[in-house]
Amino acid sequence: MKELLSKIKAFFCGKNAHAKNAVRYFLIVVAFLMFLFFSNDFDLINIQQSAIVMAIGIDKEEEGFSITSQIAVPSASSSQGEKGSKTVNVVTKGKTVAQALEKVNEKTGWYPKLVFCRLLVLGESATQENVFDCLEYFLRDEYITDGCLLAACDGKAEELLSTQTPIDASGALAIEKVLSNHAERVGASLPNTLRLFAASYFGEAKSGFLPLVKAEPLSPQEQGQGGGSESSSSGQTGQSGQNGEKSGGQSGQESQPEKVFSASETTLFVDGKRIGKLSKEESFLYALVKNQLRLASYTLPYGQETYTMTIKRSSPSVKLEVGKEAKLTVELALTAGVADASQAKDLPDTADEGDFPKPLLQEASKKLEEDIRALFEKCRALGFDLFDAIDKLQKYENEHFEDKKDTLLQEVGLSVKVAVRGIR
Amino acid sequence: MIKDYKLPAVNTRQLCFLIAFLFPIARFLEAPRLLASAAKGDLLIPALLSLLLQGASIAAFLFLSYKTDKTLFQLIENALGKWVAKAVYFLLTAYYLFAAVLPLLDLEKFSYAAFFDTAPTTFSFAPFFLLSAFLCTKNFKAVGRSADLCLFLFLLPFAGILLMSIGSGDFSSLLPVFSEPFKSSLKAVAVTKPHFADGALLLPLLGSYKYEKGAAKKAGVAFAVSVLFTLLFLAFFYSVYTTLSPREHYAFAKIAQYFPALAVVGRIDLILVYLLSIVYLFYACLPLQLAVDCFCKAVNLEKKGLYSAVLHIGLFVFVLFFNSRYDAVYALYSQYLYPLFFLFADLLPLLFPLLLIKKKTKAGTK
Repeated sequence: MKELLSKIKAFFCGKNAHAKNAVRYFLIVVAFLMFLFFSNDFDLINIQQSAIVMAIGIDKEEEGFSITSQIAVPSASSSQGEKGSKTVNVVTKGKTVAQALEKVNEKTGWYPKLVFCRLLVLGESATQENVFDCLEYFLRDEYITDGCLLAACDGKAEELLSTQTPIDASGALAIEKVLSNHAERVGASLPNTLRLFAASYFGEAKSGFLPLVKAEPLSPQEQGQGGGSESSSSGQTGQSGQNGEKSGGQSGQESQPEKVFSASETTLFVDGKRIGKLSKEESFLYALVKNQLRLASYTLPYGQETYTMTIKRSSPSVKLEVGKEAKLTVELALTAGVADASQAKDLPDTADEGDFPKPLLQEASKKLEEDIRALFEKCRALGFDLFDAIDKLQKYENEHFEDKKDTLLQEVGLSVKVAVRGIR
Repeated sequence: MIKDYKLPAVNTRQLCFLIAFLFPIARFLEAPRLLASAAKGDLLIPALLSLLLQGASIAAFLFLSYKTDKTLFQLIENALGKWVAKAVYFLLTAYYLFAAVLPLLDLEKFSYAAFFDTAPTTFSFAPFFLLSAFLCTKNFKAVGRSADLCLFLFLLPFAGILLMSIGSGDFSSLLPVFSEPFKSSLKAVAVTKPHFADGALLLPLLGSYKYEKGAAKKAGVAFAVSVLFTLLFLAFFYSVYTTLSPREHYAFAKIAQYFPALAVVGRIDLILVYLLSIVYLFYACLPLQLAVDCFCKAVNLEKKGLYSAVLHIGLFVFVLFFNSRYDAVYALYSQYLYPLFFLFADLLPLLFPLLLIKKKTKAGTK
């Protein structure tokens, strides 16, 4: 003890011959503590006590929020002959989202870890009022990334996340598949993230969109073929607990019809409230103008037949000009080829210079122009800024912004030009 | 007579690194959010205005170091007397302590949010005080060495973070330039002044830094690099968060997280964030080092250890009590106390060259 005191004294006073060593000891202690400082959590991450939340479903109720947390449960795969990891849906309620999430810990003893949460699903009730009543917590919270996928659903988010699917043991992972980058690239869905949705909400137009996730039942034949392998590790038993709260393991004891997910429809939001939705075809058109699609499939009737084209590349451009009248110009350059027809065709007929492609491409161009105009008018009537006209007004025609921002959407004219270039 | 310390020189390279790699970090944590709150997409304009003011302070420092080898204390003492010099050094001590508060609270909050998944213990931040207390016992050589280290600690992570965030950004969100009233830009300059007050951090280095031939050019390039890094970072930040920018704390820890590969390999961007955090550690220590040095010179103390220890115990207690009043402290600084930063970081460095004129007149009368 005396030696230690003399070393401390030496360090501060510098008169001791061992002062140099004291500094070294001090540096070692500092280095060790800095290591702890930068990599703490040694004692706090305990896999047995942590709930790795993969997805969260949010439903609004009269007295607050109902949160469904889909939690991954690590388990030894060989123990019961199960494949894949188990998931558990824990339903908790609270006056606020944070309170409801906190109850996961109260009910299960698991501390909910949101760092791996990649999906938020809003139930229909949550989208009837400002969705940011539900989302504010996730925007503020530093432990969940706002890069997570955000989606809406009809009905309850709890039911959607509890859906048994042959695609994956976890409903959340199966939903993420239909909202993947690939699905976005081929125009199959219009995924959105919390960050981008919130950015559009806080923007001038206050318009945003979310993919509408649906669980679609498989036919009995399909269920027979695909449902066997992982069904034992999916599904929610839905045991009732106190206060109407439920927590259920994925026991697989109850047989529920298996479903697959789709996100081909899109919900529209203005001021954070759901104001309408786009059908599958309309969503595809929106994707065509919004994103640069690759290898997208487009089917159209022509004559007595139906043709499917593969859009190998789409290059959209939307410009706003404000003169005496405001005008939006949508230009869409597509490179597409005929992939198939409802009746067999000779190969030369569907080739680049064959009989069919040219008039078919013209027909496609004409139909796309009409459909895009109709889509725009539908959204205009809903007050939804489909082509970000207000955003463009602010960025590129800022001198007119204050005068026009409130009336632009109703006044703006639309010109659509679709050029389809054929390619095999 | 105050003892004339033999201060080891901070060389030109280290000075340049200090300007180019250490000072920009102050603007990467909370300043982007504050700038975006006040000036929205025009956040680059107030940042540029603040940086130009800082450039003037750096130029004044270089001018002084070119003209004289004396320390600031000696310069004031020769021109205005010992007691004035002591008073100025007490004031500078108070200012550096005052200027250290925000980086300290920022670093504490940031490290808890970025590096801990759950509630950290109160003492998790204590190692910072140990490191800082140790650095404060050292002379300005430690500042120069910190600057040397920052070259590698800053450049690689900075480039990495920008590269990872480039795909997530929409740079058109910065348009149109000058869309906000100029008043908003001036307000942004005021509220972010504590983050752009590095001009004052060089003053005590006077006498420790020996002006070398061509140093002004090199420092000019370093300053230009510092401006470029700052503006580039702010542009990336706003392009990623656009309308969400005013809500986003801890900018440099976040903007790279949307890099697609991270969904597969995990948050490897945090390695880069760790490295930049070390640079921020050095930055947060700097005003404390200067405060200890100024105080010791003012009271003619040779050994800094005791004062450093007392100061850091006090700071630890301060952080314990005030970390829960983070927003109140921020509001106090950005709404009421920011003129002090203008006074010490911009005006004072520009006034010190006048001491040389006075000295000449005195000499002339003799």
